[in-house]
Amino acid sequence: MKKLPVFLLSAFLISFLASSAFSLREERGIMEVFVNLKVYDEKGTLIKDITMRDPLTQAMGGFINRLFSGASATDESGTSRSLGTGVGGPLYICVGTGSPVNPAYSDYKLVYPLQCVQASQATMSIVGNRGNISLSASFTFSQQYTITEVGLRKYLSYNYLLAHDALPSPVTVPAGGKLTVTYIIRINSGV
Amino acid sequence: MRKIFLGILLISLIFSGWYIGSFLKPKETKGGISVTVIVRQYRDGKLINEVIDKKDPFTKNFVALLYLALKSGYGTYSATDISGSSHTLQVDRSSFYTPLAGTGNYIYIGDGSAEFTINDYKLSGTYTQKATTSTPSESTVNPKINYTISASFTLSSAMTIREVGYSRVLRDSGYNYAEFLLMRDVLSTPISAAAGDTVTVTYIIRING
Repeated sequence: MKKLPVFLLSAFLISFLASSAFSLREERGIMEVFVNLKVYDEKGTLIKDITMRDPLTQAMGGFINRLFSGASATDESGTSRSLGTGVGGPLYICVGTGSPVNPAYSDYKLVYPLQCVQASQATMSIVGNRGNISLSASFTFSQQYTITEVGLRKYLSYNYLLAHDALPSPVTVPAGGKLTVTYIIRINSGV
Repeated sequence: MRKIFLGILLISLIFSGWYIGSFLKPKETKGGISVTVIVRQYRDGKLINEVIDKKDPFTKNFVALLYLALKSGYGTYSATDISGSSHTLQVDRSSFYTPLAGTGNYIYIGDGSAEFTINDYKLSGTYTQKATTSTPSESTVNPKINYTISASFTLSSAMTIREVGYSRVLRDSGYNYAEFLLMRDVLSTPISAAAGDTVTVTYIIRING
């Protein structure tokens, strides 16, 4: 008999938790962009590996929209420009030491860029009804740096920042160490 | 009597737990693009039916286009146009080659219901209609940005609309222009349209949404 209140409270809590899990489930995008960072020490040993979803900027919006029709975007100088039809400009991955405040759509440059490296050629794969595109870049540093932001930059006569994010926690790359940043774009990711 | 009371109390607690939990909201989704397709059916100027779907509509042609757009310099991809012909799409650093030099955006409606596959290069039905899209519009509610593309069809005969698609004209490496299907959706609920009905199809592409 004494167990009755516990039983009733348990029923309430289980129901509440189940409902919360349903309400708080992550809404998935149809195309998602992830960024992965791997930090190696000077001996080549992996010392940190993090993956996060990356917010897209207004320039990425324009870049995507341009695949459907004409579009404009803000370049890294803050100037709004009409994007032409060319697409073959070099693509860079940038890392920085700034502290972006709520990095998002309106960003057009890193807060404090440290280094930009031309990304490896993008690779594409189709798995089932999903498409995957990935590209990466490696950074080596002669002295220790603490990286706090990453970005994806496309050059189309001007530099455009397509994605920008603050790292969930700063990543320290030791002197002589290496940082690898990989962008992964998943298309039809909800299938 | 006591058992009935306890039973009611138990059910009430379960329902109230679920109800309270349902008020929790997920934190803002960041990163990613979603596509919503809205199909509206009008008869005598009045909206009589509406289907809103949020799906995964991108074809391999779209994936290839994005892949080429993210290339640094030279890149090619063999894509299939809406007639089934193969074309080499090419990009280069000088922008001498670029698929985006083509112009023309179209939305299709059709009666086919074949399940979507990423390899789709045309609608699956035997009866389709095509319309030129309106100029895409842009609206922004930071951090989200919406691109809206739509087209309107006035039907000359009855049809059951089960699928919709979006295509655009691209230029291949030989400077030939062809139309490529970039999105296709099978509607969650078919629309039975009569001759004289107007059907509008709207794609909303949402960045960070």
